[in-house]
Amino acid sequence: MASLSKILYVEDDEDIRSIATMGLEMIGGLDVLPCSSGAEALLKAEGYAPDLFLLDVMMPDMDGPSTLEALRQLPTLLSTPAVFMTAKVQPQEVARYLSMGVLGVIPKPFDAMNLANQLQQLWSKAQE
Amino acid sequence: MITPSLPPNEGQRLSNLRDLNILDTGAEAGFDRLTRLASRLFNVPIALVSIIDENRQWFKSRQGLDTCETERDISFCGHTILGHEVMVVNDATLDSRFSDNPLVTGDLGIRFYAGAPLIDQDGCALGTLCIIDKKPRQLNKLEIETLRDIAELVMNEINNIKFRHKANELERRKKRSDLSARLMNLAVQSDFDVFRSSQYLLDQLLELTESVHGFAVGISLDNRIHALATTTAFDSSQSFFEKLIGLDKIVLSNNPRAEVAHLPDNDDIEHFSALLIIPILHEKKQLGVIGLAKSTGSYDSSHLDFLKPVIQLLVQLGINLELRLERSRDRKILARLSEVARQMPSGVVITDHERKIEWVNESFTRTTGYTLDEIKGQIPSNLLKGPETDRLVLNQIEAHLTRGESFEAELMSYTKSGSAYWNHLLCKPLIDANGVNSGYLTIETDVSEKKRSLDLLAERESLLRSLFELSPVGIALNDAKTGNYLEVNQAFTKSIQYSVDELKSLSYLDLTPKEYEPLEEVFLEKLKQHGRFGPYEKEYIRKDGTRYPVLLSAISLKDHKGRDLIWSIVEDISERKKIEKNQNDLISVISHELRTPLTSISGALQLISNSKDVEIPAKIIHLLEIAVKNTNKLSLLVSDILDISKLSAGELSINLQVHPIHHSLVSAVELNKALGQRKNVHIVLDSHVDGVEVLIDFHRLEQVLSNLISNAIKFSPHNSHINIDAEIVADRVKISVTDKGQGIPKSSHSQIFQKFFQVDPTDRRSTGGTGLGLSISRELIIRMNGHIGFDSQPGHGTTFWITLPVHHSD
Repeated sequence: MASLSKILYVEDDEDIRSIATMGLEMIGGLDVLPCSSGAEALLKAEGYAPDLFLLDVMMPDMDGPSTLEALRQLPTLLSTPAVFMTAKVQPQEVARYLSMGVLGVIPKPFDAMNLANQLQQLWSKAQE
Repeated sequence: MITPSLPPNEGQRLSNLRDLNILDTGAEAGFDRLTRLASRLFNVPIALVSIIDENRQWFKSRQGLDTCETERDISFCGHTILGHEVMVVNDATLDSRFSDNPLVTGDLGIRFYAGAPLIDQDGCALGTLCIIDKKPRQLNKLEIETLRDIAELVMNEINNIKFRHKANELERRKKRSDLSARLMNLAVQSDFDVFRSSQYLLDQLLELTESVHGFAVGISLDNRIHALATTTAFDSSQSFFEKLIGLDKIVLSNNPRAEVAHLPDNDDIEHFSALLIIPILHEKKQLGVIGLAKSTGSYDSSHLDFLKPVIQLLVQLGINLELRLERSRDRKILARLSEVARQMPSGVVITDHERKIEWVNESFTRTTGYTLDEIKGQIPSNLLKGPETDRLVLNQIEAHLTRGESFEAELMSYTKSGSAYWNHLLCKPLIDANGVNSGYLTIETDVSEKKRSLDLLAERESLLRSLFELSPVGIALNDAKTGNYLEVNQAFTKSIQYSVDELKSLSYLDLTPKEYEPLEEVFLEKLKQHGRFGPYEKEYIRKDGTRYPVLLSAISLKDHKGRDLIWSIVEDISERKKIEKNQNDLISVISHELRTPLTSISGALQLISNSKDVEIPAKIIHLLEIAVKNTNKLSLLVSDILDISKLSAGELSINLQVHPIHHSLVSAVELNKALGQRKNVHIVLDSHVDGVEVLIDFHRLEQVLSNLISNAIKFSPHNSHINIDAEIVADRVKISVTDKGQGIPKSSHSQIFQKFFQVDPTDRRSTGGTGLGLSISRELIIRMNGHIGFDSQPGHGTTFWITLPVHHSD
């Protein structure tokens, strides 16, 4: 079973991006490529070759779902698993995200200490 | 033999003889005495009082002779009456006049005859007193005188007859005039009893005309014969009487059997010798008939003469009677009409042709306060008009009256005391028998009450109608059976875009999208059960095909024919829905905006605390812990805000549709997986409800299930699991969420579903939440026709369950 090590993380909010990255790196020991927008992610994604996309949903210009869609267009990344992170946890929205074939939805406010763990769990589950 | 010639005054003689009525009468003592005397005195075997009739001699009295009459031609007395002297025949055989007379030559063998003529006051010889012997004899002068004297005595007797007749006649006359007087008296009496008087009258007439049988019949107005008095012969002669209807001439017959054609077969009647029938006529009208009949004897003009005045009287009686009856009839009718007019609940006014009041009834006085005496001769319209009387209507009434037309009108009238009332008039001109207007009859009714009620009713009707028409909310009336629209208001037609007429040929089912059909069934059921349903949300399809959301409330009712109807309030909630959506969007945005900084703060603080790079002094760690704790508080506040708004949102509509229950379970579990993972609490789903459908609001049920599951997780110890079981019990889906937590103390059981209630409010950190979840969940479940409950024992965990009716789509 492959292990999770590289995360492509897209989040427009600076502070949240810092904290989440630190949490994943410091607590989870994961390698993270933080991007501030979907556009940046598209530029860097193929070069980085992540194991998992971690995407914020609410972003200007390109939101999480659109970013995911675009990323999946990239040939090497079309089956890369993804996880959404969002404060919008109203059920119909969650249902919508899940229907896009993501591993899960992590609600905001997230627990920075637990984030890596959550991703690991979702990753393991997907591997089964 | 020589037949006697006729005396010169034979005509008069015979006439006088007739008047005497002596012929063929019975023997009388007076005459017999004289013939006896003559016979004894002259010592002759035969003595006669002989009356010479036209062709015979008839013996009024005879001694010694059986026959009562002989032919005149062979009579001796026929010769005697030719002179005034006594005629003596000493020996008949020697007298050429009588020698071959059969009376001489025959068995009688008369030889001696002496006869004295009986001379009346006119000098007519009526007959003789004669003596006869069978041997010849002579009479001396003295004997002849004696014979003459006796003849005088006979004459006296004859005169007596005359006097007797006269006396009878006078008596008869007296009786007749008495009868007339009596009848006249009766005629003027007011209690004239036709029947009793008729009997009396008939009896009198019978006596006076020497009749044995008779009848008196009256003819009533309807041309029917009524027998007023009858003798036995006519007792059952109704059919005979009926033949007398129309008789206008007197019938006098002295041979009725032969002459009177219309005698019915009646033995008695057959034997009448004479019949007299007199119709009582007045101005060509037959009032009655009097009939008299004799078994012996006859009627003649004298009877008629007598009867004429009586008949006149009878006519008068008849007329009087009729008049009296008519008057009494008229009186009766008048009395009744007066009674009716008097007692009518409406006022009755009779005016003359100049419209002046002649009569008013009690009701009029009651209504207006005017008595007849006060207002006789006044004109009603002048009397009753007042300040608010419509002049236009008055003019119209005037016009009708001038044209002599009947009319109906309503007019404000005023009583004597000046109070106004609505007066309904019904007026008819009265035309007399000659076609001339003789006045007016007006019926006046106080309709103030009625008018008031009608006005009130109209006002009410108008008020309600304006409510209906102007209501900003759509209102519709439908036939419960067909669903067709019967009445709709503007608000509804505006939203739905169909016109009133178009809607009348549509049913609400035509306007409802298909997916609401199961809901419609529930709605109809509830409506039948409780008489009302709603409010509930659905959508209608507009004329242009677009949909819009509505909030519907309905009540069922019956019209006066017993037809089932539905009144529904159809509120177009498009605006509200928009606002709701905006609100929800706002909440989403807010929650995101609030949560984002919180995440950063919380995350940063935690990372600092866990930093392996730097050694952080205990004091700093403590400060960090404070910061983290408060950040969490803020986070919970945000949750509160969200929950409160959720609650308000929860009070908004419920959107029921059919879903498989399994989906709701699965998605609720998914939502809370992360939460469970944080504490390492597994969610175990044991579902036996595959394919089972429920009528629910999907996202709300998810909220409820999510709430129960998150509660279960919150109260579970770390590294445990919660069980979710779903099964069918009594046609309901039962979902149970069980945790292995502390359980709920008994004291808290009754408050579990209350807003903001938490078993241990101090222990927020581990439990989280604001205490709103269960109250929201309960409300939502109830709205979906479900139930919610729990079982819990301290120390043994808690099970929260919900039930929902299984939806059968048939």
